[in-house]
Amino acid sequence: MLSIIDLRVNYGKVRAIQGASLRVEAGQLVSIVGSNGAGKSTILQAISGLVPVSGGEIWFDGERLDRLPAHEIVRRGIAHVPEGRALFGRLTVLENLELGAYARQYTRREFDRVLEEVCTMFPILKKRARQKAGTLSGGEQQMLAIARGLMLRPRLLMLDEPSLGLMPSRVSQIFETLSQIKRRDLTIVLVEQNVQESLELADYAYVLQTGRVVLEGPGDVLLQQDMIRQAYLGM
Amino acid sequence: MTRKPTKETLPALPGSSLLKPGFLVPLLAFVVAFPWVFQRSTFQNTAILVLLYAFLGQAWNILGGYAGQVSFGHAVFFGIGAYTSSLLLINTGLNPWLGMLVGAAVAATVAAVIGIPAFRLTGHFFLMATVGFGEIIRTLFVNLPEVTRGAQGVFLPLLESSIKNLMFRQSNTGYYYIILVMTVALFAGTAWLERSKLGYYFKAIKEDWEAAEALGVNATRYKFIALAISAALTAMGGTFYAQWVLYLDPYSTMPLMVSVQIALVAILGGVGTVMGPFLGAALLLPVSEVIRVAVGGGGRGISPMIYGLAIILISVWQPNGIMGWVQARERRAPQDQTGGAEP
Repeated sequence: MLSIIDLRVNYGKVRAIQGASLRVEAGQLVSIVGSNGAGKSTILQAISGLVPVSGGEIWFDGERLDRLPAHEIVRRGIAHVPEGRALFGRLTVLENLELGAYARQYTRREFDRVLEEVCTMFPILKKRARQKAGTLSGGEQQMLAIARGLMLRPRLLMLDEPSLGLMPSRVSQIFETLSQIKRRDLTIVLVEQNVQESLELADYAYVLQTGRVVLEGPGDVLLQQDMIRQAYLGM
Repeated sequence: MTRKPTKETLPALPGSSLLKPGFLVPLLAFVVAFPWVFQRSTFQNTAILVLLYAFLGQAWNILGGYAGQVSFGHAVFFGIGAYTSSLLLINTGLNPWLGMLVGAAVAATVAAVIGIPAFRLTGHFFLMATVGFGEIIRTLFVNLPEVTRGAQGVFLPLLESSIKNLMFRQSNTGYYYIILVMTVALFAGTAWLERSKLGYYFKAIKEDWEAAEALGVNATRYKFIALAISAALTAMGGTFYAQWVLYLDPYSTMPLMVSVQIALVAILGGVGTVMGPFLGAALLLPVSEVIRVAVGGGGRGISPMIYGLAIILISVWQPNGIMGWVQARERRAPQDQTGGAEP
């Protein structure tokens, strides 16, 4: 479904991604793990068209993405839930959700149906619909960010550090939500520093170091690898 | 895409008390009755200036307040509107109302051309670019006397007093009501914009253009739309000004100070709010006029000093302007909505 071939991304003279290749099959949850600065978020930004690609190719369902602008990539059904949530804090929860549906030309009925589906998954958002997004708690904001991504009815959902900055009880709630979304056969790319949970959930995973893929394999297999256990799990 | 789920499914929307009938109806009654209550020309001139700058501030607010692209070059669009309709009236006899529409179209076109390089910049750099373009175009107006009559300026021909001619030779009342209608229409349009899809896109781009792009909003396209609307409306204000003052020159019509004043009424009142530009104009313009009347030409430097003071006070005391203060008071009032607090 998604194929990244020898991707290179530079920030000026800094080579953030140095020839990474990844594959994501339909219906899979693929995790990308790695330490700070490994280039995990940059890969997602490159897929979404938010950073220019210096080399390599990104293909999605037979179409080359790396030459398209961000707003065109979304129309292909790729939703990106960025690190830090990137909510519109002065807009209400409902307005944020409406913006999530921007790239889809829903009819009124379709929009209401998608909104209802999303609100069923995140009931708190219905209660907070008229509240400014900036006034929500961290956990609620993260739910809103994921819900906004789901408003697109994406074919590929990319989540960047969804558990970042949340208290432990909220972190498990977020992973429970991701597990629910996964059961809907949605294709997901998950970038997380929470390696244990991330790999437990993943069908397949890539480990990134300084812009290169240094390890890959099924999530449960990687969890047994010494390198992962020592570097990320402190074992 | 739809935007309005049923009322039964969602809690009530909180709105500013300044957009409710309890405030708007008495305000409208006051502004409609104003020329009969205050008949001295000084009062009427000041009231026209307040309404004109409320109109211009609102036009600026669409770009600077809602879409977040702060410009200090709007005097250019004001001048383009004023000059286009006036020169068309003088050279071809075109009715000023039609000239107003042509001026708006010319300003929107010029804005689009300026936008191509300027929108490659963001924040303060964009602001500085608008100042630069403003000065370049003003200098062109001074140095193209074959087209603009240069520094000697343009005297508008006197036409028969009528709404059709947008000219009233005996009193200011006609001008007052025309600018009142224009301003009320623009404020109503902005209230609609605030709740429209277009308004959401502007606000999203203002808050985080990358996030907006990531949702599929073509940020560049909507920035151009905001700039074109803002420029066209500012030009319409320029035509009104020309028909009212009946004389134009680049030094009085298009100086940087006009750009500052246009932006400042919106900033003082509260950017990105419907009522902000009116509150800003209602506060700033009378003060400026009182000083002009009291001190005369010798006090020409006092108004810029007041603008500077206003900018400092807003920055330190209330960055969200008067509306920020109003909204803070409203928030302190008991509300039934609650938000979570934990991280």
